[in-house]
Amino acid sequence: MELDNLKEIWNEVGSNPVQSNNNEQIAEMLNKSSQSPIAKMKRNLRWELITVILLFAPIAIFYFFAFEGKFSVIAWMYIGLLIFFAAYFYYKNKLLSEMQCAACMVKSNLELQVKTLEKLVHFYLIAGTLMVPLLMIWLWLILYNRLPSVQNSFHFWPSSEVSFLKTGLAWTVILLFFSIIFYYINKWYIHKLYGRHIAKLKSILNEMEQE
Amino acid sequence: MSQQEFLDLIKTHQPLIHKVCHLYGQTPMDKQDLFQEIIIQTWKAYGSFRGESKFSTWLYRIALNTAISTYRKNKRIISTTAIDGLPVDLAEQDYDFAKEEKLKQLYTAIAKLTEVERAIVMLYLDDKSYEEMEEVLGINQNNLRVKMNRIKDKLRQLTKNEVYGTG
Repeated sequence: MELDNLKEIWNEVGSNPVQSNNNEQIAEMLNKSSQSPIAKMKRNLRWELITVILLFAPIAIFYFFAFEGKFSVIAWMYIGLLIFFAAYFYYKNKLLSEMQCAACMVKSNLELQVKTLEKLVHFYLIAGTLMVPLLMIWLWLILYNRLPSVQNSFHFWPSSEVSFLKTGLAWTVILLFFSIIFYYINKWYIHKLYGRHIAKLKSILNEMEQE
Repeated sequence: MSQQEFLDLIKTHQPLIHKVCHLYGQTPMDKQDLFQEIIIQTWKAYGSFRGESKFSTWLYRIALNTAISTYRKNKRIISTTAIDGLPVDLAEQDYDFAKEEKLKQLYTAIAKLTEVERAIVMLYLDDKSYEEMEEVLGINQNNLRVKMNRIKDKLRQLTKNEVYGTG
């Protein structure tokens, strides 16, 4: 039997409903949330943003008003961190929104997904690696401001005994060490998260392009 | 464009969505989830439908995009029997044995094809021209013809030992 001869049966039986769906049931579905990975990632991102705001905003407010505003610099540092996270969330949300064109041709949609996913992975790697030295510097500034006693310690600041070059060099080595370690940890983790998915999408694309 | 208009269009074109669900879903639950996801994605994109292409072409794109890339399950186990690929209520319906057997074999064979090949076969069985297939998939017509011939050979090989095989 040739494939052409199966067209009739296909049209007869292939379109059997996967479940009974009347207009009311379909109307109900329109109000449900998408369960696609992109929609889930967007929802997670929203929760991450809310968590960060709920964690950092009260601390910033506290340092603005407590201790007669003596430590308002710390409040500004938390606000700076919030701005950094806001920029991170904004860019990630933008990428997630661009990732899908459901009504486009299947091949163009796949190309778009691969391109955007690779951009996202690259962004994750850079942001995740940069976050390490930035957070360390940020922590260093907090300690320096909150604990005036450490201001005289050579671990934190160049003194008459230890030159700026030595302290700077020591900190650069520490920052570089942790940044490199986290770069590889991030790379492994991102590959674990998206590697297989990207590889699968690429293999589908390759198959479409091959003659 | 109202919700009622959308529901009417979906009602008319539902068989198309069911076919995609049968081809890409593995279990009845999978198929229902995929059906719901296609409806949601179609509704989300409906505002941007300008009628530049036929509604069915537009719907094929959304359904296949959802099935192939958006809603792809991580664990793709290709079944060795036709049971998972068969429409759920096939057994309840009054089909003659030969027809049922043919379709079982077709689903068994199609389940062994890749995602792209399944999409091509579906459009072919739906009697779409190569021009329409290109509009849906974005693969040029010459390439589609080559692929279709290869798929036919593959299906013949896969079903050559079956009573109603395509070989």
